[in-house]
Amino acid sequence: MVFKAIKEDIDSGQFHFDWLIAGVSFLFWMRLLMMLRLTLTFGPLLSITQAMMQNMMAFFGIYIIQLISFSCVGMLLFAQVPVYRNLFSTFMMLFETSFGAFDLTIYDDLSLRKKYLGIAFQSFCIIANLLVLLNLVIAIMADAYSYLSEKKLGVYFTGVIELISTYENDNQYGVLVCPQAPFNMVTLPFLPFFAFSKNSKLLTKLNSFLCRLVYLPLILLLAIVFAVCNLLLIPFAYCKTVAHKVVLSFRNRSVSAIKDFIFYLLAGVPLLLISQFTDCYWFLNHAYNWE
Amino acid sequence: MIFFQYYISSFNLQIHSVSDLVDEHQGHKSAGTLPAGVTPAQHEENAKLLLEDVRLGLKALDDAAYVALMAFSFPFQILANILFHKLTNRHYTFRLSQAYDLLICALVAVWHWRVYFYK
Repeated sequence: MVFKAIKEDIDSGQFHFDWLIAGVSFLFWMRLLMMLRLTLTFGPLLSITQAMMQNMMAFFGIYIIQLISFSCVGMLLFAQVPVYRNLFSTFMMLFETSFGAFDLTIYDDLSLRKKYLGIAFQSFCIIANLLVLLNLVIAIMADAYSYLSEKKLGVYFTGVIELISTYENDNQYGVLVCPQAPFNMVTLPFLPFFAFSKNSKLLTKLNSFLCRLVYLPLILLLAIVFAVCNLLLIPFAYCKTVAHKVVLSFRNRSVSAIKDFIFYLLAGVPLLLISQFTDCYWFLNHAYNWE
Repeated sequence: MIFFQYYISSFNLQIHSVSDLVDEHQGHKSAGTLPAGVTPAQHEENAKLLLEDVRLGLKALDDAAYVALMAFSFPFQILANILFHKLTNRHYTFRLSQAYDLLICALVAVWHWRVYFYK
């Protein structure tokens, strides 16, 4: 039933459910870029791209206007050629021409004079777009990039400074801005309390509790990753320690060193497995430590 | 986002793979004919398989819709942000990323409304 309705809507063009989902999917992924803007690894590059967009938009305006003007001229001069019949098809043809996809044989059916005029016209479009404008945009981009890459940290920190008011911790209200969606919903029932309470002691306690609560899913995920990495490293740790104990046995030539070596050789793996619990405990302990 | 993309891709795969077949099946059904070289029993079996594919596709869409529900938390995040700035006496500015979040939320709302409308 739902499938039929969706399909009918899409086929009839009444409601493009596919476009809606594509749009949501695109926006969700682009949101990830927005989140990465504040990281030192991706932030500077994203800031440069954003700054270069202004140049790109200016260029795009010039590019579109000149393409439309060429399209108008072409449409009026060569209406006999099918591709020049309307403004849109002319525009699209010249757009493809500007990227190097052109066909000069479309004027073959015209009179000799018009044929050469057509070839000259399209050649002029190619020169104007492909050679002049396309190279111009590359030069603009390269120039903007070299200018901004020297100042990329500055450009990046401008964005960070704008958000300092949000990211500076507050002991009483910090939890209102700390959690990422959808974990921020945990704070929703407490919003009226935060808004109207003046009891600073209670606010601090509640803030601390909620901060820990919204941090829990993340820290559990990290703890799992930590434990898995630890388990994967056990064979390497075991081999390295055994090798070390062999070296110690040869160097010290004492009974206790040899005993240590034999003990570790036999009980090393269980010991390393048991130590995972203490490692995980201290990992969680340090991760949850407010200090 | 990864879960969302996973379910959407799954829905897309199922629906696109069966869409033409469903059309073909509907055509034969309305004409009262059978595809060449297919017995009535095989035709019934094919119809069941198609229905199963459609069901799986719609289930993936439902799962994606549940994951996309997180978009409804964006306006509350903005609200909490405004409240935080007000309570801490800090300067608040409405950022482009917040407008972007509202747009996602609105689109997801349209999506859910549309699915409700279809059902």
